[in-house]
Amino acid sequence: MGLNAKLQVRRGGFEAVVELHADSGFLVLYGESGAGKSTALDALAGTIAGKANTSGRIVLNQRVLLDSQSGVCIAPHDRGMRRVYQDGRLFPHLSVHDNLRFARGSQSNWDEVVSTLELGSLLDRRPNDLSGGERQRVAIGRAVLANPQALLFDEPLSSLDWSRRRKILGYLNQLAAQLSVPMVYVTHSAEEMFTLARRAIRLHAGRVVCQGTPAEVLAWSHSHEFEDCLLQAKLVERRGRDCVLHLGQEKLFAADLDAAIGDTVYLRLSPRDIVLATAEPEHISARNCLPGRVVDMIDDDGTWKVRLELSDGSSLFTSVTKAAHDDLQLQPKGSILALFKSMALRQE
Amino acid sequence: MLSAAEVSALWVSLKVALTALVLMVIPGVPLAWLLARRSFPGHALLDAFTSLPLVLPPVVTGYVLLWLLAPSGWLGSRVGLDLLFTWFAAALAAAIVAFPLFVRSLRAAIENVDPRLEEAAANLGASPWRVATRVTLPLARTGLWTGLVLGFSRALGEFGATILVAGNIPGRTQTIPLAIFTTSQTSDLGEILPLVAVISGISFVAVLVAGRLGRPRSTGSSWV
Repeated sequence: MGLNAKLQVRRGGFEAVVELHADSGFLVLYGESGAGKSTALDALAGTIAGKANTSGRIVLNQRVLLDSQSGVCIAPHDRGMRRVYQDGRLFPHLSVHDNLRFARGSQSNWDEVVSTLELGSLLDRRPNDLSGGERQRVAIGRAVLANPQALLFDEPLSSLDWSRRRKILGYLNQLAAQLSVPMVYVTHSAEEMFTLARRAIRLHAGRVVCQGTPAEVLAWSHSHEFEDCLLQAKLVERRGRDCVLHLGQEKLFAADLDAAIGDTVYLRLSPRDIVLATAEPEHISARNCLPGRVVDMIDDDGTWKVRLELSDGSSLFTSVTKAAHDDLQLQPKGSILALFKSMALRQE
Repeated sequence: MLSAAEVSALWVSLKVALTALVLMVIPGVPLAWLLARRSFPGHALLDAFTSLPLVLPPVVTGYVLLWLLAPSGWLGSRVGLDLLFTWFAAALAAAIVAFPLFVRSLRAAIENVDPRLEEAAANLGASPWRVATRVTLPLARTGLWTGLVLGFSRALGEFGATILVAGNIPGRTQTIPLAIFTTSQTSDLGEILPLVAVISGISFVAVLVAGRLGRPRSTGSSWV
């Protein structure tokens, strides 16, 4: 049972090679834009123009949907895969009710889905009269009510603000508990990956470069410097625009966060914004000064790439010049301080 | 007031134009969809052929029909049905002349339907037929109504092809344009006025109705 796929997709000059297995629950495809995540979804759904562009094999619940060797290629509408798009794609000429009823079939889970997604009050409305968050809830409901054998989510929350995203992530987790179908969820948000998935796949330049738990996938990304450092902290206090957070035992200062006291917030930090020190400097504007230790250092053609671990276990990395490396006498396992401005922390 | 002959021309005209509408819509809808949504060898040829009646003088169209339908003609000799000089021949001629107007209008509207919505429908399990009838055509309805009105008005006013294949038989094939022509040949121009008023009135009402039916129900232009 489940979804098994081994795909090779060509689109323009881009080629993606993806192998995945999904049981019931969320499998997250994680990666930056252009990594091949949406291409992989298109190939699964069968909506890439020209059969010749997709080769490989897709098996869903023991039914072969694609087998380029034996020439099997099931049409998109026959695959049983239901997709939720980034832009909703509700039918503008139909009411919310008729959008939800668009797919044929029994829809025996109608009441459950409508109440979980809180769609009851929206049923008579037109898609053009809905807010962004309401549209995505309807789009999710429409897919779930279409008798899915598998669900494909294509960055469904990326156009929403933090609080709406948080709310819908809650709905999605509830739905996952109700449905026992494979769900492939594409995102570039670490928060969504951590909230939804037990298993994740990291795509980079069209290739699967890592798979495992969300933490393993993120650690891999960090060790290869494909992206910003990511800190997971709890908002504890707010003084005007300034926010105070707890990162393990340490205090973290950030500005202008869209979150409530007690919320867990995911914060991105560019390696370029981090300054290293071996003693705590005085009279400095940078508000954050976190103790950690050096995990490893690589001499990369004259600059040193340094990876450090903070007391809560999260990792940071940055580059320093050879002169700075020598002055600080950086050593693996040595103690170090990471300094950065509160403005350098960006909420996911 | 209209004379008995003029009333009968009015009925013939309506019968011919409405029948033409049916004859035009049945092949026109699938053809418009095909031209808008599919690429295939001969697409450009089919497109040009569809538009041909728009650029040909109607008399030439009538001549081709005459050649096809005459009892000794290509089609007439095979089917064994003598359609020439019947109201149905007039409807056929009107349908052919109006056909490109309908197809072009509907095709443009279908091309304006966001194909991503069609993809979304397919991903919800809708067959190509269901996608076309539940998503594409409803979203292209403005073009459908415009095409129907343009086609109907064109069919109502058809003259050149009609007179060749259906003649000008009062009470049977004489439509309003033919009656106007006949009256203008024989009588005072003032006597044409009622017929001119009637045909203008019908066309005007058709345009009004189509404008109302074709108006999008919600004012927003966003489709998401």
